[in-house]
Amino acid sequence: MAQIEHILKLMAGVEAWNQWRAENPEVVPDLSGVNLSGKVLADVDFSGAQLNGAQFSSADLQGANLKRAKLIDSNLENARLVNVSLREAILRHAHLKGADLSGADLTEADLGGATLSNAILQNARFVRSRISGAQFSGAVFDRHAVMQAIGWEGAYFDQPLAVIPSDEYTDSEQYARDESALFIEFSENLTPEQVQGTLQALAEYYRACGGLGLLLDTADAQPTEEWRHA
Amino acid sequence: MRDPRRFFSGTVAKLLAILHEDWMGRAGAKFRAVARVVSEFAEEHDATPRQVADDAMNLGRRKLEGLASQEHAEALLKYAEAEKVQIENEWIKRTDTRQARSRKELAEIEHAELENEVMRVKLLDARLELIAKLQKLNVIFTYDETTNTIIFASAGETMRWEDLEGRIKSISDAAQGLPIPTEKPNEQ
Repeated sequence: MAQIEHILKLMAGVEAWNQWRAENPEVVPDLSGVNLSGKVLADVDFSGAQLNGAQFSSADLQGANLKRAKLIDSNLENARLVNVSLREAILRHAHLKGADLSGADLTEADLGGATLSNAILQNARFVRSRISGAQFSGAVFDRHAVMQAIGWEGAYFDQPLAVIPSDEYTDSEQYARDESALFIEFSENLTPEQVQGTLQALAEYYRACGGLGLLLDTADAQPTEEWRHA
Repeated sequence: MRDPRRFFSGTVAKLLAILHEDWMGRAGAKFRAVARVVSEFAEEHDATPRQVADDAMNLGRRKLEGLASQEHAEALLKYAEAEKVQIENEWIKRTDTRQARSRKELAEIEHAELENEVMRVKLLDARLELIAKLQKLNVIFTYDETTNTIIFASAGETMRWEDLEGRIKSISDAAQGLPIPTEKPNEQ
């Protein structure tokens, strides 16, 4: 059950809330079950907070700190969660349908049974995230999304999922800024001879243009992970 | 621009243009000019999207077989080994040249070469050779400049290579970062 004093602190505004959090690091806020739908809570510090069953639908939580927050069965549908930190957060059975999680860090988060249908997951990081039983139908990934999740049992994707290893890209922004890199994707239907021949043709052309060559970064030369249906 | 919803699954790899100055300079500009033209052509002629969709449909089966990705990974490694040798050779060539000539001399030589019609012909030949190789391999690609990503797929039977060749021939000097030749006055 949420504590009324914590609700009142939050109602005083994000700035006041964050200041209170900074001054009282030992207090674990309890906002379980509170309805914060549609609220603007950008950059709020909810780290470690008890938010189980809380309602955040269509709330703006951009840049919020939700590290280790407990969000079991919470409702985050259509919430704006751009660039939030959800590291080690517990989101079991959370409703994230249509949420914008662009750039969100979900490292080691527990998303067991969560619904992420139609969620925007561009640039999101799922490193060692637990996704068993999570629903990703219609979710929008891009190539900067890092999917290194664990516990794929029953996780549902309705489209093929390309997995980019995370080891080289601890900072996804750095990945995007890597101007000297050329990212390549090959249709699975191409033969190995086509793959090798095409790369050689491109490298030879680059040399003819005056370039030294196109070195393969073997750390990334991994096949895509098997995509799964429940 | 790629539709992020058309999420394409294939072997993903990263190529590094070893020298940043090459990639950001004329060599990279020339490379990108051709990639841009091939990509535009592929998109205009709908040469790849259908193929990509077909690939996606076939993907489940191929994945279960567990062969395609492994084969691709092996092909990538074979490319890497061969390319390393090529790069080493090119590097030795460059180092020897650099030791023999000063930087200023090299810059002057490069400028003179670019002004040279022979150099332009060589570059055109290289472009056409690239297209010929792609045709032989029956591979086409789309290039997304914002993410520096190239997606390769089978060209399909409808691909009109001769038209692409024509387009490639008409790439301007400016598009490749080359100096535009000055017109010589008519001699009476």
